[in-house]
Amino acid sequence: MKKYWLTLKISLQDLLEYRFDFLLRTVRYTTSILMLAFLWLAVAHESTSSNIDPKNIISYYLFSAMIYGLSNFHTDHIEEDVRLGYISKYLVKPVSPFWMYFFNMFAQTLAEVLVKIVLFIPAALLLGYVTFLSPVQFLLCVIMGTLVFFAMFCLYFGLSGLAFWFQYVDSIRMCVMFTFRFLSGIFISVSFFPSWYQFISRFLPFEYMAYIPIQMMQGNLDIRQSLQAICMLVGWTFLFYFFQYFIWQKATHSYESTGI
Amino acid sequence: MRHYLHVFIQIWKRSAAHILEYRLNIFIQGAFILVYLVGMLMMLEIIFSNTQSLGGWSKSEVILLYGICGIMWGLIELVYFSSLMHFMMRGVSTGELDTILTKPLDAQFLTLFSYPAMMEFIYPFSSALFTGWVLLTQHYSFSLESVFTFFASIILTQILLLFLFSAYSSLAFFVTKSQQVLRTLETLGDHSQYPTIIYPQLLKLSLLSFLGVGLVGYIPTAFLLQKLPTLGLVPLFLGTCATVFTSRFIWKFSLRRYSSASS
Repeated sequence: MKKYWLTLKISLQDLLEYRFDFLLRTVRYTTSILMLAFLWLAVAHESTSSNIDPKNIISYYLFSAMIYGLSNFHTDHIEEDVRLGYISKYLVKPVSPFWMYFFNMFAQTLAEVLVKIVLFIPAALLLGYVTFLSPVQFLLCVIMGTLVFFAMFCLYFGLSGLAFWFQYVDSIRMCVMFTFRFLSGIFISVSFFPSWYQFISRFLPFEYMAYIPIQMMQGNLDIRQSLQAICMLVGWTFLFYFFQYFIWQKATHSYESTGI
Repeated sequence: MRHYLHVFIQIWKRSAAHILEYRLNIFIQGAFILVYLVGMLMMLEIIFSNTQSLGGWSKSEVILLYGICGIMWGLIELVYFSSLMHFMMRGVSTGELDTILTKPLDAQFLTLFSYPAMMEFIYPFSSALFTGWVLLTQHYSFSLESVFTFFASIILTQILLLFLFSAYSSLAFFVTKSQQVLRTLETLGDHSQYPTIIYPQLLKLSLLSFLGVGLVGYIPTAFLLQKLPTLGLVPLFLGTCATVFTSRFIWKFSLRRYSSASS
């Protein structure tokens, strides 16, 4: 475990080394999500229906911007390591590539989310866009957030593993990522989707990656509903974990490093 | 000029040959573009199920804007964006710029056009098909003047953005990891498929001026739909000229301060 802890620390140090890069990356996605809030505020302004509450929109997209990094990150460096053969350095050492990459990504995501929490929550509280959560609700939000990241990492790691067979797999990963972005509620709240989709989305993994965590953070779900959502996400996480396990087992079984 | 055109064509031929080696990737990329186009259209559908207009633009007008924006961004990605990204990631920090400087061609030209993203051709191509279909099925009325201002604004906007992004890429001379600047503009560009008018005043001005991404689809489509007067071309022309000169100045200034990083 010590070696993975060290990976986490080094990744954090790397982020602090290139502060401008980290700052811009954080600003980039945050601004993009907050611009969606302006889009929906424009819709609310011109809409004749009264079911779009501007205050709720701002609050929704503030949380969406905060947790965006948990489910939207790029694992293209893993694909490059596979393509160029750098993956061998993990395969010949007593370390797991999965956990090495996991802690590397986790450090980046954690730093990004923490910066947003520190900046957004006080501002949102002052402006009255968020309400206080009970300690139990807060704990459940933290568990949900960690699970979201772990589940999505398993999925993207599995997809990046396809690089053992294909030259470029980023399009496949981006396809999946975009589908998740769109259907998870990051771009549009699931409540705006047609009712038939809202019904089936309970059985799909998408809304558990953004919409449900945001509902939990907004205090719209009670403890029982939150626990139900966590149980569903645990199920999907297992599925994604076995997906990546299967891909990487299959890949490393037939992998021959020829050096570069 | 002919020499530059010849080099440009050779670069494109080389890139085309490279992507044809991996034909399966073209289909995968095509699938991604299809998912993206359908997803964004569904998003528009959801938006317009809640309102009749967006910033005073009707649904059919926003769909046209979406198509034109796809062509414009697609061309940017195809022709020079990946070259600029490559320069920002590797040009200065690894000393790759040295090899460019030793060639008997303008260094800014090579920085802009050395690595076209040929794989991205699917995006402007499918957007053009989509726009054609929209123009055929929806009933718009365009005057000759609006068509002229539309094409003129497309050319001016593309030149402006080319030099604006090039100016931003000069940051690579001063900051080790600066590629996020262009990536940020690319991400903000996703929002150029909505009328820029919907954003708050300060953001709108930023998008239409120093960020530039608000110009991409909004300005040409506004000219086509006669939402902007023909005289609106004048500030666009002046802005383009100012951007070209500023970009060239920044590039030359940065180059003067550059010292080789390679061994």
